[in-house]
Amino acid sequence: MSWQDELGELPILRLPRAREKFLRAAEEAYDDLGELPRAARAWAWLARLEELEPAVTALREAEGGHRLVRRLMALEGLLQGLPLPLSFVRLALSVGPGREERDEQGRLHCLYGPARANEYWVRGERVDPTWVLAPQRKTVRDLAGVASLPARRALLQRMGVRRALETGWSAVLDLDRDAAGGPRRLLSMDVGDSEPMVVVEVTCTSTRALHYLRVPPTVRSCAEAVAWTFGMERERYRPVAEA
Amino acid sequence: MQFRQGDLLFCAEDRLPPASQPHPGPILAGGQGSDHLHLLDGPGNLYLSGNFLYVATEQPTWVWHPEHARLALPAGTFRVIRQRQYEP
Repeated sequence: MSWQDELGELPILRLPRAREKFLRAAEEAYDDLGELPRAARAWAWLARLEELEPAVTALREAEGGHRLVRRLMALEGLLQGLPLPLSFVRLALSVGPGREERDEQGRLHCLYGPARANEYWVRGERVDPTWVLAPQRKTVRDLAGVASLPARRALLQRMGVRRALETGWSAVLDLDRDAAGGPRRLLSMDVGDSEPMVVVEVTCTSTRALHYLRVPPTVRSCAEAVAWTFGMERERYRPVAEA
Repeated sequence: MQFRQGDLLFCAEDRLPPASQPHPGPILAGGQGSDHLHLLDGPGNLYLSGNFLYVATEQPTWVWHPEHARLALPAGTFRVIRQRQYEP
């Protein structure tokens, strides 16, 4: 099976126009990087995997696996939006033999795997592995056991706003409805930071699912919050159609 | 005029910025996994200028997403704004 055929098996590329445009763009990019047909196969294969560990193990064992992943990362602009779970790639990089993961300030740091062999570090603080491996089991109260503010902020991000709100008490700052009638709430929660976590809860127009978006603590209304997420003043945000 | 599909806002502009470059492929935005994937699924082309992506189309077109309803865009030029979140 050719790599084009393998890519074509992915659901998003069954859309004829999208498939045509993507394949043309991919071919152009792949021409620039000699081994990309092979990388494309690895990517198509990874994208079908649902389990983290087999993906990482297979990558480590594959000849040139890390090099391949690095090429995929180099293509991130192209890969963005494709169904490649990039957390797989980041974890695969983080568990490379003898590799240490550090943040931009040189602190040991990795939110998706060990920062160095079997040790889990976040913003320079060693943390329990469950923070990285099972953040969905943590609660906002667990953050109190993390000493440094940068580590608490990173772990709150890893836990996710929704999980934090589910496991603690929040105050409602504002309530309204969007243009389609969907309910919105502006929530504030103490997360052990120097400022509260302020989040706008919105309802998806298409799926009716709830989404949570963190906004600056100075925001005081749902409308102001949603406009801020698109970089606008409240008065300038006026979509005529929403899906 | 603004149009929104999920976490993308399309803002009508008079014209493309002078320094914009063609951007290959149909992908408007996407993140980890396919839940945030937005594709141009109709006529039109993408351009990049600075950090912004633009859609320019001489005919009405569509934006596709795996979960959201298809979004119809009229002919024109649109700046694509991705939704952001506050990160202290």
